[in-house]
Amino acid sequence: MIKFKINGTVTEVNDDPETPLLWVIRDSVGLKGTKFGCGKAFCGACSVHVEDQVVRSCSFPLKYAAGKSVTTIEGISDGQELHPVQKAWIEEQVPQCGYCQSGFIMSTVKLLEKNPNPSDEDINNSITNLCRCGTYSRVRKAVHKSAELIKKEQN
Amino acid sequence: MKSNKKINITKVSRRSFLKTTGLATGGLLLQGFYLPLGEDNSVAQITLNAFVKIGKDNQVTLVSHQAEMGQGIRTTLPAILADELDADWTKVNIERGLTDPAFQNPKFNFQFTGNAESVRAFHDVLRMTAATAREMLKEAAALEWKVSVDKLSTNNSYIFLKGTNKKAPYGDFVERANTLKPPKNPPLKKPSEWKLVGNKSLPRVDIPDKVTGRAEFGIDVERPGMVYAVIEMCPYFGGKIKEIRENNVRNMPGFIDLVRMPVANPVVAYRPGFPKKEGVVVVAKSYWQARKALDSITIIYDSGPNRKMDSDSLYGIYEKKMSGSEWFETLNEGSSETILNASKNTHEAQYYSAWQSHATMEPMNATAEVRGNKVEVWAPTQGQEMAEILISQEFGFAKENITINRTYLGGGFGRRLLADYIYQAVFVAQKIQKPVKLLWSREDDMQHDFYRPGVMQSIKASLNKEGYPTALDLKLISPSVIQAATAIAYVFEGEDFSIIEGAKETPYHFPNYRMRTHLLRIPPPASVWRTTGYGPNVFAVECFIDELASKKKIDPITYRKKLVVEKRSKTVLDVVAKASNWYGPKKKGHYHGVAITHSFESFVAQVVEISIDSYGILDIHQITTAIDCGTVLDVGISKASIESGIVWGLTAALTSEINFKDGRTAESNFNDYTILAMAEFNPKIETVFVNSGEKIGGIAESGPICTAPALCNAIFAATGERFRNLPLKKHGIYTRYYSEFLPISQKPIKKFTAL
Repeated sequence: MIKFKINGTVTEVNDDPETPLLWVIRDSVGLKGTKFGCGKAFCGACSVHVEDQVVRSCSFPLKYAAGKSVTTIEGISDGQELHPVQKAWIEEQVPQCGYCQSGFIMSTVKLLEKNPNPSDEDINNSITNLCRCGTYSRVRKAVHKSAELIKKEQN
Repeated sequence: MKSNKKINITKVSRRSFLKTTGLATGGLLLQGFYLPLGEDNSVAQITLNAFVKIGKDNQVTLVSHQAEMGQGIRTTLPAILADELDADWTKVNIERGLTDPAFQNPKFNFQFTGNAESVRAFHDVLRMTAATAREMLKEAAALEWKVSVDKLSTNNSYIFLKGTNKKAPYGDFVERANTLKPPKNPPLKKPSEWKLVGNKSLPRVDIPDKVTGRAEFGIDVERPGMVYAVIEMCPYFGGKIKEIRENNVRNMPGFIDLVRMPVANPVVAYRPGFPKKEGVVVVAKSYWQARKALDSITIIYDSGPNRKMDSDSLYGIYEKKMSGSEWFETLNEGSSETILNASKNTHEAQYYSAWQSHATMEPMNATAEVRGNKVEVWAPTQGQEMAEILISQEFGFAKENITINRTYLGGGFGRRLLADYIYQAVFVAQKIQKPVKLLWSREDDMQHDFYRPGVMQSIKASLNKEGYPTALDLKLISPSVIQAATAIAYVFEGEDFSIIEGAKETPYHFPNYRMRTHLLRIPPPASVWRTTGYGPNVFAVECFIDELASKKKIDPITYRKKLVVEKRSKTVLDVVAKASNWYGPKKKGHYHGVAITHSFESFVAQVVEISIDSYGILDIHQITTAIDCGTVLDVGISKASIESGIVWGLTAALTSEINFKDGRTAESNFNDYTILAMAEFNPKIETVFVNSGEKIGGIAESGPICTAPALCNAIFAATGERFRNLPLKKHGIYTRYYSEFLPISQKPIKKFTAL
């Protein structure tokens, strides 16, 4: 049994320690918002937070999450109100098919915690997720909008 | 009609009580149907027609029958219904439609989502359907209130008695309305009366669930008692499984079963030489256990008769056929051959667009459950009816015993019109008699796609003194793209209506025009891909027109304006010239390229503004699009669709490419099938809609078509070099971001001496 925290709740799973965290989250814990895109950490659709880091959970063995705190798209808002990044995503009407968007949002949340005022270049350097629908222009706008919303909420 | 005492409306097959009648006028009107309410008053929803249900509590439910795959159709189609029905948009429920004749595209008598059809095929149908329901509600209210119908008006799901304060919700009249005969010609709103669509922007209904992770895609489906399946298909086109060494698979954790599948990639209509693939499926208690168990097996292949096939040998076949004599004559107007032979002033060029994969972000998957003689499927599909036909054909299920539930699609782009992956899930579910979710890996998805085939064109023109064409000859080599997506057993010979799109009919009129095609039969499977035939053909034609213009140094927009036939083409050229500042002063080192198309009933002109250095490092500064789709229904969604199309077009123009090696696909994931990354795409995007009021045209497939030729024409403007073979990566032209990741051995070299 491996124990870790997911979205604030302690959970225990019976999976093989080598199982990618993605499949533990999706099939054992049952949270489906984190998506499988490539299985090789190229696309970022499976991005989640492990402690303070964005990890591509398709290539992150469960054993490394033991005792750690994992956050998924389902855990970034408190259930009452959306996270500012989610609000910005709605305001800029970012998603198209939407499959990769959890990953983009998770990457953005962490970027803004570390860099509340990212330039376009900062965004390019830190958000390397792939989107086949080509929502990139809107993602970039929404990242800037998220930064604004976060600042507003802090004031 | 079947009567069902315990009616749960969402479970009742609409097939049994829906009928459609094609009217002589060409319109399609849904007949009313009379659903017995029975004694059970728990019926909350009364079905007025295939698309509209209203509860006695005034809950309006609209059926979205087209697949939502990113194009925003789950918003726009119900908005058309709500608009005409005068329903309160903020309170409507939107429900997915199953497979039903009422949802067939009237042009094709076939239910599918694709070809940028949803709005242009269904706008009128939906307006008529919603107007019928609205008039029936009014008539019921008129009877109830004992007034004449013309005294009534509707708004926000209420009926009002004009000149009084009297009003009542639709729900009060729905039962009575349901017993009335539907009116033959219900009055439709004028475009000026539209409230939800028509040059407006609605927030998309699917977005809130797509930012919280709640949206359910195919991969997210769960059924009680469900098990997981993964598959390995023979990667060699025409190859076979020689031996399966099970090793220790049956002792692997979670292992349930191993299933062999003689044909893992069935289609409805096989072409001669279609490479059927064998598959080996492992079923386990979890996806990862299934994957690990499959990995533990050794499958030995006989790589088959095409083992030496690679990209070069295939390209050689294209070139050989191009200089050969086996042609199907698509068109021969005037006396092109005579004029071309006699002319001293000719220009000739050959183009090639590479093979492409759909690479939807959600890999192919389906969940299936077989219960006795019934089968139920949950899948991200564009081809609900195709799946029904294939399952019925392959397993013998009666069509009324097949239910295809459509989830959200993590991208479609044409790939999900086919039902191979649905077939696989049903095959396994039937074999093991358990609900099963079958999921491909990314590698499966890329290696076992039905690709957009490589397409080669050779164009020759004779020119008059002014530099304009007097005759044209176009030769086209392509495998069939529509064959695999064909739902009846029909084999295309000579011509395939999809491969000639954008070449047979262009925005121009050439009085002497000969076009010939050669339908290539080569091993890799091909099918439709966003832009269909237009993508490769408009690339060739629009680059060629640009070459002709440049011979006499005529401005490319001026040149095109002189050649185009329709006023709408001229207008989009004028609009794009203005919006892109085509004729104004340019920034130093910035160059423009233009292309136009008339496709999917829309007129599009696009200008790409770039700079490029002498090493071939490209910066894209602005992409300006003018589009006349008749009337743009939703500006926000349509703009997003054009943006999406631009990235799609640029990806294929610049970087993505499927290659073949040793008789199989060379690429297997996003490391080698490279798609545009965010860091490579930061141009200013300007999109201008020209609302001509003409028949509504498509948007989703029109966006990408002009991007490759406009880009290549801009590169010519900058460098004086023509690149006729896509993707540009092959010529050492890279985005700045991409170039930074190249290994030392591939570092860009100085190639443009003019710069």
